[in-house]
Amino acid sequence: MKRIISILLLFTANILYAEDKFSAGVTAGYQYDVGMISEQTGLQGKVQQNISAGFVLKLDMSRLFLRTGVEYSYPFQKGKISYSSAGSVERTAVSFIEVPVYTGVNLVIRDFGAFYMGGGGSYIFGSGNVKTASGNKKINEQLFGYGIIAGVQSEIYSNASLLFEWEYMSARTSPVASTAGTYKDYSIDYSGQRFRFGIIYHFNRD
Amino acid sequence: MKIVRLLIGIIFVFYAVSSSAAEISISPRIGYSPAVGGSMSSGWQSEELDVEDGIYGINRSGGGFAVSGIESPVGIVAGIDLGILRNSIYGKAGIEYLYQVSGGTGKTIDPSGTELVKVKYSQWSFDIPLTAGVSLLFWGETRIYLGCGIAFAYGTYSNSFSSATLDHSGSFTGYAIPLVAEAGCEYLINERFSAGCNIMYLNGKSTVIKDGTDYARIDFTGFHFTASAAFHFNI
Repeated sequence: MKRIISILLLFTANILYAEDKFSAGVTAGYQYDVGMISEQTGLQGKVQQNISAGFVLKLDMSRLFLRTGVEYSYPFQKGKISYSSAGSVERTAVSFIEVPVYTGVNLVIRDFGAFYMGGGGSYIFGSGNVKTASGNKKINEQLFGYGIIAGVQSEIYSNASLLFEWEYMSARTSPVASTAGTYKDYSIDYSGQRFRFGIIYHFNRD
Repeated sequence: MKIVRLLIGIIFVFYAVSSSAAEISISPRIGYSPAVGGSMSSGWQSEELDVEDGIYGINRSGGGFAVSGIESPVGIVAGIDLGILRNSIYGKAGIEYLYQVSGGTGKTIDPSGTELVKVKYSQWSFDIPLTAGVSLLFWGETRIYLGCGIAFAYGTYSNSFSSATLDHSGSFTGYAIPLVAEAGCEYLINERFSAGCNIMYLNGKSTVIKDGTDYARIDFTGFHFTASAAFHFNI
């Protein structure tokens, strides 16, 4: 609840200047090592890699920005564990919908576009599945993770820009599958860096 | 190896800002770190709880136990930097304090699945980053910079575990020389003042530190996001 209130306060503070520029667009993205398999001791195998597609909504004020949207991230390479001394996980296929909510400094660079950098976090609606020796376990999780975002907008027309964006966020579910014992002990880690490329259209631009 | 890293960093910073000086800036900043302390693994957790990856693997649920998730710690960051800028090259030295404000506590199940274990992880640290890099000024009103360097980091990682049959706590204090990468931006409000943001990434762990029968490394790796206000003057 505190997180939601904090985010709403940030939103409110920004909306006070809502006469500024509003932009919307589409992005394609990439995330390496979804589920952070490489960080887990005793696991060896192919890490999961996701591609994503999403919508961006961005409010550019004179010196601040507000960034939200929605994105679907899907595994184009599933995580495959070839050796494990830490349990019976065999494969991960983690997909999720992400709703980023960020605010920060927006630097307008004349004759180029803008550079922005801010903090906030993302809501994650996790789906997909994890395959263990005892079968497939579906993922159905909702959580929030704090993060950081930075991006560059390069104008290609007076009312359209290319966008390149980097985001880091940290979020891990409660256990969703059992790898060895009678209890669940395998969590899904949505943490990591996302890279996005896209195009956005600027409404009400002078 | 750490001494070599430190020397290379100092030489790099001096090289970057040597010769006739230019602009000096002092910038206090405050922000947060989304994930503090890395895995927070330790020898005792591996041997007694069968958890190799610390906080990454500590969560267990089932058997009707009222567990509560142990989330990655989030920390607040406060610091101040002294920067020198000349001909688009900058050098910067600072000090940062990182204090955990949420996450790191909860309840899990012991490896036999028979009892509830209360868990607490915490970490604080300070670091002295030395960085240098390129700072680009656009139209005399905005500045974007990108740099790298090293830091001296010192801190304490603590953990505690208690249940009907277990009672353990460990505290590990030490230092490391993490590598640092940073990017930031500034709005120049006037000739003297600017406001901006900074993203800094530290990557480094201490050597193995012992506390009784337990042992662990302090992980200073993580992203720090801060907002800053800077005062500039020429020398």
